[in-house]
Amino acid sequence: MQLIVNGILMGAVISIGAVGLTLVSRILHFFYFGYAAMLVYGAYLTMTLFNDVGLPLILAVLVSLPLLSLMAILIDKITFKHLRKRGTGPFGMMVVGIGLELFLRSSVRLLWGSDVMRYDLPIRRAILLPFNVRITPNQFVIIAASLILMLLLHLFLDQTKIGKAMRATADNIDLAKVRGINTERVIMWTWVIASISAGFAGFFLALDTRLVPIMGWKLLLPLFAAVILGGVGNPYGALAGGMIIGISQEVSAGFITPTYKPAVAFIIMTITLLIKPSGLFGRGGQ
Amino acid sequence: MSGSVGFLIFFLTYAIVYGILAIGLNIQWGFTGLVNFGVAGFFAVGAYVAAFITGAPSQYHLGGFGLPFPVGLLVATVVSGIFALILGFPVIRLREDYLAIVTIGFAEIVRLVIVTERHITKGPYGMGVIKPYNDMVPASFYGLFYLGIAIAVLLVLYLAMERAVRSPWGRALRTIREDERVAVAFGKNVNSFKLQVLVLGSMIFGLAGAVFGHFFNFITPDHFLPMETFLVWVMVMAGGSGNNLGVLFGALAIRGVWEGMMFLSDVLPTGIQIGAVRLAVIGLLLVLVVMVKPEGVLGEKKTASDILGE
Repeated sequence: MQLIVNGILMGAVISIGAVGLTLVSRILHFFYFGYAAMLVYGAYLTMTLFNDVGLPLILAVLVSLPLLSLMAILIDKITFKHLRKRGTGPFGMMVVGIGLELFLRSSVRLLWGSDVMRYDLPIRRAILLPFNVRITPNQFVIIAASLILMLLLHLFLDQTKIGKAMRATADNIDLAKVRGINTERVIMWTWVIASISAGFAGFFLALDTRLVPIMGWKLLLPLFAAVILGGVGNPYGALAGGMIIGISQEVSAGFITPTYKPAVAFIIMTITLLIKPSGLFGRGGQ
Repeated sequence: MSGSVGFLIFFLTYAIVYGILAIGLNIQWGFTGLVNFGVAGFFAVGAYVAAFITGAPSQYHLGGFGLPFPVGLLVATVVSGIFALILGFPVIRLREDYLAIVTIGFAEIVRLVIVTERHITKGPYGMGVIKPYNDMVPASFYGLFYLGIAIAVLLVLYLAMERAVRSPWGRALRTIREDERVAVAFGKNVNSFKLQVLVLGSMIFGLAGAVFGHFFNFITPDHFLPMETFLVWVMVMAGGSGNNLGVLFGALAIRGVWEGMMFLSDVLPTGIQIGAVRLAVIGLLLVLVVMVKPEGVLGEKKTASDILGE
């Protein structure tokens, strides 16, 4: 029972992160490894704003998001925009993304150091729930906050004009262009949503564990697994995929050495690619 | 032998290990257009297998079979190939970006196994690897002697690969790279060729691992981080994909940049970690290569007759 609760917690972190990654993967048409660095920057910027500047924690997260978006859009302007104009294929984009991931991760080490850090919060005791399940107040906040975020994301994608344009572009880029959707504008908004998604995932992960520069890279494999399982470009699929990956990873710790958790994500991802590359909920794989 | 000569020998041997890796990736990516982001995984398999084969018996890790050095190289090469076959058989038909993620995942899991299964690999503590023919060569010349072995391995490999890519088999690979549909139209079984290339290239990574282990004489999971894979990618992409001499030049130059940055530590303010700066530079190089010079410094040699023109 405890493992399932741990799984839901991990699933919440992966789900929130996977939504942004799935939209970037689909709308920009390549798998962006630098997403891991966005997650790490989100966690560290929040830490600086909270620990050093002294903002309340919620405000620190909310202030870190526009900074993260600005960074993502700036990077896009310097690199990917040129490559899009030149018609560079998904592979070239992917290599640039990997280069950016290495560069940005190192910059975190240079700016904040490699030591393990944490948010200056009082340590509170875990609450004992029925079935002998233990959950810390932080973990409770993570699960509740991710439910609220999922609802807000749904409203954004379903109700707003730009959200609809994003889903349309994710569905069929050429059709979206023909219908007069400004794809560069959609791409800009994709980076904003990706920053919110990565920022919260990074913050949740750091809140539940600790801050280290490698934390983003370590979450990248489960994130891609969630994206592929849910169907690339399908945000609802990414949410479900994230939950499935999170729960399977944690529950597997009951049977095998816990260090092999990432292998579980890898195996689920590979089997998905082999049997149903479009993912559980379709749309992906084209 | 004086310090600077010793360092030069160390540098060159290290560069040759990466030269072998670069030749292996060149046959996969450079000639066939096959994406493999799992270089570090096969490199690790080769290094550990060779260490088991040539090491003295030990209760702390697998083997110690005490077999001769060439047997170690051979078994490391073959076992890496078997790993590639097992991985490649189901996934070789995947689209290149999916293949990239799957191979990178594979390399991470190899490293995870090495870290976790301590009774086999001694985990994060690392394993000692013997110095082959140590008793036959005077200690002061040993570095030079091993450099000679490494050069010989690279030379044989280089000549073999140059022959291979000029053969009809090699031409089929380039056809697959340029346009898979053309290869299919000529009756080539594209997936079979790709699988052969995945196995061959990965065998070369395994060989490089064996040469590395016996050179460094100590291996830990940290020698096989994903960064190693990208280091080889920079070498191949910057040196010129599809040109074996080009990627060797790339290996030498990038190793030069890598070691050269060590001297930066005298200039940089204290507290700046050289490891982070190195990683940042490699990252920037990857970005720049794609944005500025996608064909690499040397590019590919023309293989068709001049009369045919472009």
